[in-house]
Amino acid sequence: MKRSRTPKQLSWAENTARETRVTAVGGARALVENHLGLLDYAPERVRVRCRRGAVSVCGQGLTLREVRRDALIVAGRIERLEIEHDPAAG
Amino acid sequence: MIRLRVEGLMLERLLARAMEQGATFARVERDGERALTLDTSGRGARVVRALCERHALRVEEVRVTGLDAFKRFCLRRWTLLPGAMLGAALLCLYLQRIWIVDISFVGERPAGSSEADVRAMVAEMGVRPGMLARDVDTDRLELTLSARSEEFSFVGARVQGVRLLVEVAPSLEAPDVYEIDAARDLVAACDGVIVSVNAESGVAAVEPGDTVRRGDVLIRGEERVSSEETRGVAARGEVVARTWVEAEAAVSTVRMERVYTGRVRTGSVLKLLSWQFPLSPAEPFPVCETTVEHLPVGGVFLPLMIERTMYTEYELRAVERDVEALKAALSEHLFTILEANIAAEGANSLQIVDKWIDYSMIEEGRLRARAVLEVHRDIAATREALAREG
Repeated sequence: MKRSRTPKQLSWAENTARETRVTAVGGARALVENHLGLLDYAPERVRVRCRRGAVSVCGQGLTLREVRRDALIVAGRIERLEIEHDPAAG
Repeated sequence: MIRLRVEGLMLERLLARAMEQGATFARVERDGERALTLDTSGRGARVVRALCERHALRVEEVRVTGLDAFKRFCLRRWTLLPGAMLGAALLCLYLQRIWIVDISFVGERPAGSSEADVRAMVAEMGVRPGMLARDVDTDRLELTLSARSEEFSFVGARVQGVRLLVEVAPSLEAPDVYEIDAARDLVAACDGVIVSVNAESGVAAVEPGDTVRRGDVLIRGEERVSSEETRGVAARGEVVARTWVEAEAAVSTVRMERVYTGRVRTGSVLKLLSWQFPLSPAEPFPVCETTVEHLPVGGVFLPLMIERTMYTEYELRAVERDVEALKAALSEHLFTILEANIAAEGANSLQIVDKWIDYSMIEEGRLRARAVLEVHRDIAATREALAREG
């Protein structure tokens, strides 16, 4: 049986600059990698600092799981992701 | 895993500081506007506590689970581990020895030896509860026991954990040995009516339908050599006859029943060990039932009590029993006894062909039952066997 392969254009690009990456799995979990610290945490909004600004995960009943220095998981009912650009950061 | 509740402002910054110092959190949950609940490891909890102390934040431990809880439990009960090790060592020592010596008879128990005799023989050889299992030489035990008693055809010994099992089988009875040329007759072992005769050697002296008494010759031990000459041989064969075994029993058809008259007297005394003081004396009836009741007064520590005695008068009255039920019970009892007796004689050579029971009133109020079993059995026996039976 021929095995289907993901085209190279659709696979993850190399993240050599260690940019913040947010991976949402459905609407219940989101993995935030390469963040630079927690800025704000409330059940409706989790905001983390990243190299070029901040990333917010918005929703309801949000909790943090497996919180580490460079990665964390946001669990709960995720409704949207917001990326804030800081012009001063370049 | 340790669950902490932290209260204060800028708790996100506290988390960031803690992570910079190497703390990780399995779960973080907002517990109010100024409170967070954190699940972290022991190291993370130490880091968070130090930061809270430095920044004057309130922290409390909510719950400890998993490995951290176990560590705390062990530290709190430091004697547990040495105790468990000591227990394990004692268990090892216990399991290295035999503590139970079981004697088991396989098959029929020999008449001459009891379990106590075998146990004494084993003890004489130095095998006793408490000795090391590796010191028990089961081969030597088997050989010695076999050599010491001719009544054993097999002796097996094995160690099962802390138990030494000695199995003993009795030696089989030697069959009757006879010389084929030595003349002997087969005679009737009991009274009966002959059903069949099968003479393997010798000459049949009876035929089906004959009535024989105990001791009558059934097969003569002789063989015709010529028309005028006979010679003696050992008679062999099977002579089946109808025989009867019976049993009797008698029971009373009347039973005595208590009829209470309704008169009751109650007396009570105050009692302290052997000392007693009468509170309300009462005389018993000539025929009565006595019930004694103890009512503690002084509680558990002082044996002070009131002993209350109740006398209930009754009369004895004869009541007729149900005769049919009595007959049924007698029948069952007698046939059970007879069948047990027949089974004890050897079920192979016996066949029950009929049974009946007669009832009669032997005197006033007594019922007698006589149960009879008719069986077909081989009644041929040697004179020596008959003499042995008496």
